[in-house]
Amino acid sequence: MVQVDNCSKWYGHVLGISDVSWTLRGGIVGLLGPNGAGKSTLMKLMAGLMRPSRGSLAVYGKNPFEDVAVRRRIGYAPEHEKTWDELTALELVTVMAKLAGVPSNRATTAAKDAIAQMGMTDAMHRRVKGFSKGMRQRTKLATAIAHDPDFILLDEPLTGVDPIARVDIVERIRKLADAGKTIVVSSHVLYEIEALTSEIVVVYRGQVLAEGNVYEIRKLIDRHPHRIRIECDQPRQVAAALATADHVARIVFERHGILIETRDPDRCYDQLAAAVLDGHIAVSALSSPDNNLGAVFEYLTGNDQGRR
Amino acid sequence: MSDHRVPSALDSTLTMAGLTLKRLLRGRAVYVALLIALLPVVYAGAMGGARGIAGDEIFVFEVLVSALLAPMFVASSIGEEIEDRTTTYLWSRPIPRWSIIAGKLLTLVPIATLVVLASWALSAQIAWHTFPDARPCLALALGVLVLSIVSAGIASLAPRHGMALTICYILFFDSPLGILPATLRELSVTHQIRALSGLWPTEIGLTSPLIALGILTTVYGTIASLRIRKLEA
Repeated sequence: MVQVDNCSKWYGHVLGISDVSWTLRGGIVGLLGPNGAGKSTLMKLMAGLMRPSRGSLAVYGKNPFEDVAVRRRIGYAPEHEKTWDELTALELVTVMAKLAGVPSNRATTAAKDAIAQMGMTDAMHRRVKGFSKGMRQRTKLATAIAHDPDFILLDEPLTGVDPIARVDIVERIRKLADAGKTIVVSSHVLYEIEALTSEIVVVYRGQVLAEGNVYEIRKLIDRHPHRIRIECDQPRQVAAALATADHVARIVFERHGILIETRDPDRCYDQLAAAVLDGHIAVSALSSPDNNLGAVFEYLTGNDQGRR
Repeated sequence: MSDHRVPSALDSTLTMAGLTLKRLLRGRAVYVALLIALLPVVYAGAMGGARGIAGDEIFVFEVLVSALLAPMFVASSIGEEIEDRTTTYLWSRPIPRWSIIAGKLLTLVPIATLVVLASWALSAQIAWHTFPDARPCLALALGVLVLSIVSAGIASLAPRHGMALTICYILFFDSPLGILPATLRELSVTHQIRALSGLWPTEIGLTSPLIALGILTTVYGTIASLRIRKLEA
């Protein structure tokens, strides 16, 4: 369905994706990677918004940038929020449906159906300008599905959406997959992808790092040593309290505190709290440099100076 | 897959024209345009009453109004689309990209023309208590069309500052070029509009300005079309 062969994309000197080869056959697939990893670039290439700098990319055997007709089978919801805010949701989705080839006499009905599928019927006559982030995301999704495409690309569809709306949107995306659509969803948050699919493609620094079942990836991520930095008035006392714990891999003394590497962050935080309370230690800062997916990917690719 | 087909170029152009009209009517650009178009009318009222006023004087004013309205409508519309990345919605659709520009022109050129001609007619009525001849009206209408296509070309090359650049181009390059006593002035849109109006004594007929405007339209239209085809999101 989608065949990517040695595909690279540069924006001037900036790398989008590098030498990616990947085959997509169907179902829901999650593109997982930190911000700037190349997910959106890959999405845009598949949607026909840009052409590869090198290599080739085919959707249903055609180049989506050059072949206008194949884009009829693609539904794309971009990452950014900007739409034509002066329009109502119904007007926006209707226009998008018409431009995707739905005949004028059926476009409004198709738009209403798509809006209903995204649970936006009550707000369809309101202008997009006044929509919340979640409503905008749903409207974007409606524009992507109104023409009944076979292949749907959703770039960060859950970003900024509140937890209740997130559950609802996830459910609606799943229904689309149940209806036989092939869907690619990108996110930089693992649990968002996990909620949608078990098939993921890990993208990092413009390359496909891993591909397969989410549980395998999860295991790799869980083995990643977690770093906790504590700044306090008695770092040696804190270090002594944690030095013998089996989950602690390393303790590094820094200028105003210590950096602890642990394989069990929950236990480490508990023991830290106990040590601080028992020793009446004044803590000025507590942080985790690993609270982002980027650090995990650094670990997976071995770019973290051999900390594995 | 559903049985929907790829929309024809005409369908996509008309849909884009409808979208452009809806957005225009719900924005502020029309009101700003009307205010700008009122300037020659006010000028005609003030100067006409005070010392009398020549037709070419107000016509030049109307050409300047055209030079503001065309970029304001067309260049800003194309520039905003690219800068706001709403083009990602359009480019992912199975439509020829030139139809996006064609749709915009189909809506914006007649509206800009209508505003300029209304301003010209009102100014003439106030200054000389008569409606203007058909020829200057046609010159102005054609002028708005060509300036709109020039705006589309420049906006597709420099979307972020499309409107400002087009206005600067017309005011500080095209207009001075038009008053040069050399063949270079044939490249000036504003000069050709004046020549076409018949308000200035000239030996040049209609053919030469029409050919020049046709060439300029083709050049800038091609630039816009090629550029929009190559742009990436």
